[in-house]
Amino acid sequence: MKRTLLALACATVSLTAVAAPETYTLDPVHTFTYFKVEHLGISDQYGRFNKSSGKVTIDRAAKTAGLDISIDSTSLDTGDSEKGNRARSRDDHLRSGDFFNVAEFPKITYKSTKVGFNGDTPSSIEGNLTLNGVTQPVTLTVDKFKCNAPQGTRKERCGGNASGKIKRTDFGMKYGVPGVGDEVLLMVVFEADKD
Amino acid sequence: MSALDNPAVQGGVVPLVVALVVALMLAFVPGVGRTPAPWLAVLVGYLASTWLSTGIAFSPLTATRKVLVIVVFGALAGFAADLARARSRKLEAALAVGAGIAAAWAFQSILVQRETVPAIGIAVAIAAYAAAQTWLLLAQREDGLRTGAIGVGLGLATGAAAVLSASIGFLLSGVAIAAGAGALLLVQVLGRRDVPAGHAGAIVIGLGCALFALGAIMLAEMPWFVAPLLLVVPLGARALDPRRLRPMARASALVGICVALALVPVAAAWFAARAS
Repeated sequence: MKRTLLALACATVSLTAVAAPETYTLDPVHTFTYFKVEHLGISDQYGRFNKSSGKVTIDRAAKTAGLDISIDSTSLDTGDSEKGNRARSRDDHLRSGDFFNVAEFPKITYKSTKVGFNGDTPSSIEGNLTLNGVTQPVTLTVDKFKCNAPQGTRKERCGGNASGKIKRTDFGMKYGVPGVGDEVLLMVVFEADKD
Repeated sequence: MSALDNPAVQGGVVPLVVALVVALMLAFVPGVGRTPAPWLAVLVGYLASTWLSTGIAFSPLTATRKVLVIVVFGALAGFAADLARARSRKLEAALAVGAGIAAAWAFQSILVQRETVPAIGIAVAIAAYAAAQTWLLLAQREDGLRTGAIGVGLGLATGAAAVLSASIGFLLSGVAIAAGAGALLLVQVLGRRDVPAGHAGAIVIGLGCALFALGAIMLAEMPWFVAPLLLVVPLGARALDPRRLRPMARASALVGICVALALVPVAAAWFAARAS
């Protein structure tokens, strides 16, 4: 009887361990948030934030997951940071109060509230984006997600791409609409190492 | 894109037309025309420009939105003083100090992100500059022509320095004040009568432009030393005012003087941008 109880207890502990959510820390050199916005109705312009940090959690058995990203808004980069003969560069302008207002809001955050699964793979992320002091729900579609098994001393590593659309005017960023489009496509590419 | 999406229309044409219409309406109302009430048209022009360029909203109450709130409440406080026919140095000083405190509050959300001692130093500098510029305009409020010319010069200087510092929002705000002040100059010159700016007009121009300059410093790239250089405009207008000229000639001369003086802070912003 004692042996049976012990075996049951061990099995329960083992199952709990399998079902526990696993946490991954975002790798800052492989995690970037890109944005795409229409310019003057004739082209799409891209930019990205070069610094971000955060965590991914995933519980494959329970099919739950989470994504928390904190983006350093001062790290904005649209490929025009050198002003040359001009008074200021485009990145200077985008950092100002007209757009990302980085002096007042140096962080942009995204915190997931629910992750949908397609089989064993995350397929969509519902969450709250806080930009310019405004928090709005934003749903991201997971375009790609894969984990590599640990190799040698290297821990398990997961990564993927997720994207979603926002209207920047919903975040109080009205300057320049419609010359600089209202709709912005956000693309998050990330890789994270298991803790 | 419609014409109303054009920054030149948002910052220049609309505030000029709106301010002109409102000022003309108020200037010819019996019993109102010789009061400072028509100067509220400068505020209305600025609000019209802001509504078109960024919209008017108050949540979250960002520094830029606080600037608008302060300009509106400052103008209303000034107009209340005008209605009460209050005239005293103490009132001028109290309004200037209030303007300074309000200016520090406007940028509190940025200051709290810094170390305590530097933040206090910056807050004191912000308050001192906003108070000084507001007081300089309040001290000249009885002279409608000179206040109008200062508004044109100071608004253009603030706006031009702001755009050289990567802020088109504060460019539009500065130019809107210049356009509104220009409308009041037109009303006085064409109507052949002086309309004193009163506390309301002085606060909209003096405090408004101070807050726009401070916004360009705190939220964009304007170097701090441009702000005190902006004081050259109201100081120079007072010192160089050709008082004996006829109103039309005097208004033209004052605008010329103020625009020329405006080149000082604009040049400083330009050279700072080139050097950085």
